Amino acid sequence: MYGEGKMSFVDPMQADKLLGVFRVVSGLKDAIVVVHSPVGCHWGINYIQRLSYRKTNSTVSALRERSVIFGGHEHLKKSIEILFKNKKKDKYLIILCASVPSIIGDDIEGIISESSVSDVSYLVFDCGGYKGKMMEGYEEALEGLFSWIEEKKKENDSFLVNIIGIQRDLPMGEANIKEIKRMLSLFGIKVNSIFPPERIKEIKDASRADLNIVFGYGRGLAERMKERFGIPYIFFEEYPYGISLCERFLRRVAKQFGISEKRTEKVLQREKRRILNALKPAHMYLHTLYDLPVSVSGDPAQVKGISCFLTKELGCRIKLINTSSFDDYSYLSEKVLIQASMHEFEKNIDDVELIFGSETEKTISKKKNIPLIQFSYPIFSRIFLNDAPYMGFKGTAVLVEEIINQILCQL
Amino acid sequence: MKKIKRQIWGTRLSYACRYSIDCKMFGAYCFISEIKNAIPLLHGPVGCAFFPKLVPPDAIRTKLLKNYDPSPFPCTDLNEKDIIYGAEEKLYNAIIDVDKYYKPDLIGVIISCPAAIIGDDVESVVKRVKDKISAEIIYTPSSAGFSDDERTDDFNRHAEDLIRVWKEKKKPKWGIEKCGRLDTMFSVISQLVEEPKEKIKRSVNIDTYGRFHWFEDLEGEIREIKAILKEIGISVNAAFPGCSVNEIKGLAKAELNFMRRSERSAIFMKERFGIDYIFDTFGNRYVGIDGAKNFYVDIAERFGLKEKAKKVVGEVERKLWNDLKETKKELYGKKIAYVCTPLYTTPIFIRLLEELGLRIKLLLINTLWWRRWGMAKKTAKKVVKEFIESLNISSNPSIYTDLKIDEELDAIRQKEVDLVICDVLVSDISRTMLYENNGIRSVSPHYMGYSSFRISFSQVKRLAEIILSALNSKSYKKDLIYFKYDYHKERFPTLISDIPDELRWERIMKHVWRGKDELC
Repeated sequence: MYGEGKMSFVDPMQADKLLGVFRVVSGLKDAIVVVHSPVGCHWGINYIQRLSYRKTNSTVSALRERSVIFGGHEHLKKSIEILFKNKKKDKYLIILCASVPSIIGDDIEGIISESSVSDVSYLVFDCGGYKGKMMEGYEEALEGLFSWIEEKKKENDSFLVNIIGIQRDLPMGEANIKEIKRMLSLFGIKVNSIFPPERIKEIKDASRADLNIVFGYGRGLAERMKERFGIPYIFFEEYPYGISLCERFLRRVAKQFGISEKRTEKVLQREKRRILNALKPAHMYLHTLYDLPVSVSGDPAQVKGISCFLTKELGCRIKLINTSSFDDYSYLSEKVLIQASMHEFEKNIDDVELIFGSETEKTISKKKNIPLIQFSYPIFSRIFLNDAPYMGFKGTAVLVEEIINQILCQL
Repeated sequence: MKKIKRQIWGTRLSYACRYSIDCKMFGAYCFISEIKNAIPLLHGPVGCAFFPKLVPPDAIRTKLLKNYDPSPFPCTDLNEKDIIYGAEEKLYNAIIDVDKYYKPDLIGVIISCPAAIIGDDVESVVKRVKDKISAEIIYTPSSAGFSDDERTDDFNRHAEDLIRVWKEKKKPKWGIEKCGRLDTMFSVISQLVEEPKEKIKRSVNIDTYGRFHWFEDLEGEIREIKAILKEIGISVNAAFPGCSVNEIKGLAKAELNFMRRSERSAIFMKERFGIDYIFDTFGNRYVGIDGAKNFYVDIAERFGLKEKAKKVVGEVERKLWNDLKETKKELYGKKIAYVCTPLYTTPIFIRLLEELGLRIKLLLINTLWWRRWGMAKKTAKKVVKEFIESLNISSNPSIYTDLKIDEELDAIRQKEVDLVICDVLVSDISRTMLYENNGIRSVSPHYMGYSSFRISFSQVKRLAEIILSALNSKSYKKDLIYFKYDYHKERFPTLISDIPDELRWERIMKHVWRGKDELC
């Protein structure tokens, strides 16, 4: 139907830097986020985030034609003054400069100091759409939160960690976090703060942790915390989907805290027994998943994690990985697309029988009649009310249930 | 389209739009997507082209083109280097490849904010590439998100205009010519319509509209217009958009344009091709049964067929009332409460309810929608006053304005009506649910497929049937979970927990976007 070869247009499957930053900061309940842009930039990202079931604490400086000519300072100044008019204390402001102010070069700090609002703590992100892709913005925003971390002393003797980089706005996002917390608690480890955070307090108190656990994103933040507060970190390039990655995750954390191998082994064996028991009713179908041709779309940490689980533990064949950053995926998939256009993705999934993706892949999934499991950002077509994670030991059963049900429904 | 699909699409949009508003670039994308086998191509970064595909496709695309998926939105993926050095060659190559890959009939090049600021000469790129591609091509010179947009104008002016329409039956001065859709309509018409080899005698073009009104019967309206005009002796050259590129190219074959949205486009075609036009924005001369009659007579008059038209529409009207005879008998004397927002509801529509035999016992007017969009309380009061004065109905209803939701419910209970008809824009379904949860029958005709703005006789029949069906429907006891939450009494159905977000957004719209000087 369509022509062949590399094309010089992109029908994008991922957003730009602005959405990446917005995803990290817009859920902060006690800060106000102002997208410094014309109305549409805010409309697009707010639409996506709100339909991903995240309440956003954001608004827009609503730039107009006159702002391009005379600068956007009047609009931004007025917005800030309105937003903080009756607020006497705890004033936190995050400004996201979209393409227009980024090009015309508005002096944000000057605007804030010129406004009638005093004693406001603020962060400014230069995230014009042309400056990078979504996960670059995500990474930059996590690192940017560093300047709000305060030097604080630990209050008790328990093992305390920060979790960095687990995306709350993914399907089962909160359930994933809960499961990771549960897994850590098996070794008496408590979670101090999570990044992206929901409260300013989580940011301020982050320096109390003994260890930062970084999943995919936020390495820059962890580095800076190591440098400033001496907090070590461990980095996982993939999210913990499936038994094998969970086991690896817990072993590394336990080792870091000097927990004995015997104790670690005991905990892991118990968890594995539980999950294998839970999976047993699916045994009659597990072999049918062997060699199942699958494509996986998402950001690198998700793609690597889920592909590892699908290949190693279920025996699926990953025919295509579609992701956003250059890296080595050859050990996981036959074909890899990086920052692909929708038309390239469509051309490459003909022999696939199951897609792991997001709302973006829905149209193609419908068109090609290939079942879609929505696991990556963004997703509007499902709602998540229960504690059924995709990550962690518990998540293994949820994923297997999801895969088999999707396939059975299509028969 | 299934009811649940249009409800979910509508819910998503209204939920998102409570705290933000779209830009001209998005409107341009929507308009290009309303043309058969047209591809919008954004000269801009990926972020701008990413989100529109996640928004439900609009009504013309789904209902007239029968395409239920959003259009692809290829873009030039502008990066930092392009911002510094310009990206005209990138655009040129992208056009060539879009033509090659999608094989569209039309490529609509949409200019984003960054492309507009760096000043790429898109017009020259389009001229240069024109002969190298198979598709037709147009571009939108002012689709940048920050460009002039009449939606930023004062809503109080709009209200004054509306009052003039009700009272003096005059053409409104205020419009949305420069919104993204209509701006693009002008670009399409001014760049694509060709000088015809010959005119089609007694032919007319019909401008239709859909936006996100999936609940409206777009196809039914066009079908009816074509059939009645044919009987009068007039043919429809094109109903656009929702048509092919060739039909748009051939618009100038018609002798008359009937335009509902863009007078600028009508004037352009008059000046360039000598096509006369009738312009009427919704809520004006062609609403209701008399409005539909006016529509045919006005068009026919331009072709010297006025008498024929009167005869034809007279027959259509007779048939309509004949068809409605039994329904009207059943509706006769039924007591209704009518909850409405002036604008969406016109005095003509209320008179139509009486014509169907209903007795309006209670009229509840709600101006929240207007005030949320920045109308001053004083102006809202004036709109209500003029609306009431323009009603000219015989039922003599009790009339209340802007009651709190519990007061509204009490007023309805006291009147012991047979049915509540809801017509309050965004809250129709929630209100219907609320009344029915309290044992009061209720219906929202718009959600059931009726539109008071469509030029249609059959819509009246549909309205009567919807009302009758609601009156005769079996009523079940309800204790809906939906109402177990705390709602703001003046801003129903907004949850109390969402009020700060809603108010923040309204302040920004009023004082920053619309640029009122004083701070609230």
